Amino acid sequence: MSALLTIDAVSRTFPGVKALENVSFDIEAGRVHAIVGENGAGKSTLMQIIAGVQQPNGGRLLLDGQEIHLSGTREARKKGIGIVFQELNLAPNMTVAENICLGIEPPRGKVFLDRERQRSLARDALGRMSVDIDLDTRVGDLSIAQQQLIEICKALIHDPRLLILDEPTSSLSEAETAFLFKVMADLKAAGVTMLYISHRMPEIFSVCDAITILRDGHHVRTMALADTSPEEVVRLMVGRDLSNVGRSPAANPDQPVVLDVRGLTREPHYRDMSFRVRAGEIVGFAGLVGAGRSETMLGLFGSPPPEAGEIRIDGKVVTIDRAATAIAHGIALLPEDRKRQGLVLGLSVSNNLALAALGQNARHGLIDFPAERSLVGDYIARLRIKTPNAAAKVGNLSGGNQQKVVLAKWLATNPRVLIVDEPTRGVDVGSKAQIYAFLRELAAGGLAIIVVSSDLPEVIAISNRILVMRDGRLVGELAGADADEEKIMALAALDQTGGAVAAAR
Amino acid sequence: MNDVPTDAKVDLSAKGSVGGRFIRSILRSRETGIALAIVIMVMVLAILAPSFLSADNVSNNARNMSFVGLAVLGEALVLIIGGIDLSVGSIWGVTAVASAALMGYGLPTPVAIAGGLSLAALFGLFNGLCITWLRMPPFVPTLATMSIARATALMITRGRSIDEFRPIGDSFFELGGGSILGIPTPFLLFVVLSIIMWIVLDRTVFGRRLYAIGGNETAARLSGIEVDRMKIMVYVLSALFAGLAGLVEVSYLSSAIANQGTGKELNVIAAAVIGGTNLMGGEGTILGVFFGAIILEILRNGLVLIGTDAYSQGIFVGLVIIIAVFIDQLRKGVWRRK
Repeated sequence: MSALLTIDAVSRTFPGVKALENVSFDIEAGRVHAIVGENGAGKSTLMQIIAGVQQPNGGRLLLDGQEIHLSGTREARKKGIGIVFQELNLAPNMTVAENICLGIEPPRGKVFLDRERQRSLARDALGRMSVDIDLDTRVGDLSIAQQQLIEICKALIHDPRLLILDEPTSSLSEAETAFLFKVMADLKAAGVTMLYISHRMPEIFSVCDAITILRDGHHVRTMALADTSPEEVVRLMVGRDLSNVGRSPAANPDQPVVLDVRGLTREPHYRDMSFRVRAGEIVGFAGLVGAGRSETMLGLFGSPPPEAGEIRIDGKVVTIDRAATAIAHGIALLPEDRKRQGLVLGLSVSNNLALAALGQNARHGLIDFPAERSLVGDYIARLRIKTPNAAAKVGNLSGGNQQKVVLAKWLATNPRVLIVDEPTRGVDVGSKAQIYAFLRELAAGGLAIIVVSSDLPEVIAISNRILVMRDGRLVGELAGADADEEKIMALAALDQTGGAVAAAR
Repeated sequence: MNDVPTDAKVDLSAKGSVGGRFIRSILRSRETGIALAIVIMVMVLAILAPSFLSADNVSNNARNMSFVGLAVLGEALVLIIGGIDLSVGSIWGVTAVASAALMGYGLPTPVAIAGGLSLAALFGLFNGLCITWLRMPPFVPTLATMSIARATALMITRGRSIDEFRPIGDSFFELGGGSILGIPTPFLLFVVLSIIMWIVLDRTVFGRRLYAIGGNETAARLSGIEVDRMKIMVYVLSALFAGLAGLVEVSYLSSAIANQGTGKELNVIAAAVIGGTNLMGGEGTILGVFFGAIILEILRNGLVLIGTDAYSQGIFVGLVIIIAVFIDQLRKGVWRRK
């Protein structure tokens, strides 16, 4: 037995919820160990317990066979446990070096900051990952991928023996993900044990050695990855077989063009973007993070409006200068960042769901409550939104259900064009399948749909047609039926010569 | 382990009848707690100072609290959208002296009132435009307006008080000094406007959108809400309510001086906070701020009646603010987890 960390009968209850119940398994030293489960399975709670953010109600943790009590992250850090949270925790106005050394500002004498040492510490941490980022850059000026690497450096500087990575690839493109995996391989070679949390099976099977599956707060199984298959893991996660998401055939060319975009430009984000979407068609947008996909979609939504170009809806030129006019012209946008752009977390499911269509359910400015209730009830049932009731705070729902609320909010506006940006980020496998099925159903009903996603299997499965962007331009188009990951990546990363992070800027 | 009893409670409520849940939701609501605090304060004062409940004293208190109360109705909107308006005290003062001056020039009362309120609205518009067009944090332009409006008031009066702008017994003085069915007019005005603002916040599209803006401005904007236009409207409304407070006070005092409303922005914000308004935005109710204004007045009057040192009053107000917010955090469970 070379268990680095033993989790022994750990339980954690919150008022009304048992987040973890009697979970036990071992984490072997020097391995990359995947933790999977649907949202709400208890992964995050378990990671927070291991990292000292939360304390268990029952059970214990053994490090090298010794029982440990972690009262906080500082304590965990001292014991050699580091965590990289899914959400970035960086100070955007401080430099790379300052961020990496956040919390351990090395002193000169007793009072002053030793900037030289700060820089050398930061340089060492970056060096360990063979990443080349200028120490004096403002972190806010870095790409998301680079910021993610800075987060890892922040953990590395404490020389962790166990590093927890919570969905580190959720905002990274394929190339950036590949780079991160290289970094992880280096760390593993240096003897760092890693816990890797992800929803993405191909990633898990390419980097991990062992896997633990959690379901509804219970430990389902821990096994070597060599002994299992993605299908089995998914089945254990959801407790049922998921039929393959399959592929979408080409759309019917006889359908009218609903959205016709010509020469859309906003420097430096996107330029000369021209494309059409027919009624009933799902068009996928693929590309690296930073290729300008989300910015283009926000441009279509007038937030901020493009500097040049023309947008036609049903053949008529429309002027879109802000979200309100976009909505008036029948465009709906499910934005990339659900918590920041999509939801008012402090408000109820009902208030969020009715927000965009608020004016439609009102007379003389007074809200028509019966109409609103029936609208909300309909969508909760149609999208199978799991919530105690319509008045529950949306912030208390799982990621998948939150995303369904955002989707419902937009469908309630009866759009002609539905744009969904990263529709399944941070969404569990079960909800994912439901969202795909629902998008297909909407397309069949004649809606024109654009799907932006960094998850290539997702784009391939859901789209009738795929457009690829690179550096703010459209660089290719693939029919859904003959697209594969290699073809898309070749278009998205043509100029690249290995330096994945550099390319993503 | 101390989560266990809480668990049991949650289970109960899940099984409870609809009526039971309704009662429980009332018991848990923030406003109930504040109302309870008022009841306790009244009972304690009734014992310590019997004159507290005399008809005269109650009527005086009702009138006194109405000025700050009117201004709170506007400030609450600002706080709900996540802003702050520091200029309400100065706008209160400048509206007071401007209206009195206009009446002094012999303009008809409605024209003078409209003139004063237009000036207030102008200051609100200035705040709103600085915040939206010039993208300034609300603290800055409202701080500037606090200074500008006060100076404007001083320029109008040249440091003297404006008296005898209406003959004694003029109907204008009924607004602040009169009573209807024994209830002071300012208090009636405060109650009526509170009901209207409650409807606006609770029942209208406008109100719902204010909470969305305060809760998450980006999401609100991307949901098609005209955030800038709404913000400007809110700052104008806040100025109008502050101006109205000044007007009613002039009517009550039958005299206008430039330092009317000085420092009132602090009372106004205090009443809103005691009433459960979240300074981070997205949270707050009219019922809450209504109660908040009452608490502040009972505290002021009660401390005088039981003979506390007048200089020490601020200490009690400060402590009440801290206690109110602390209780609110307890209610929200901020401290439940370590």
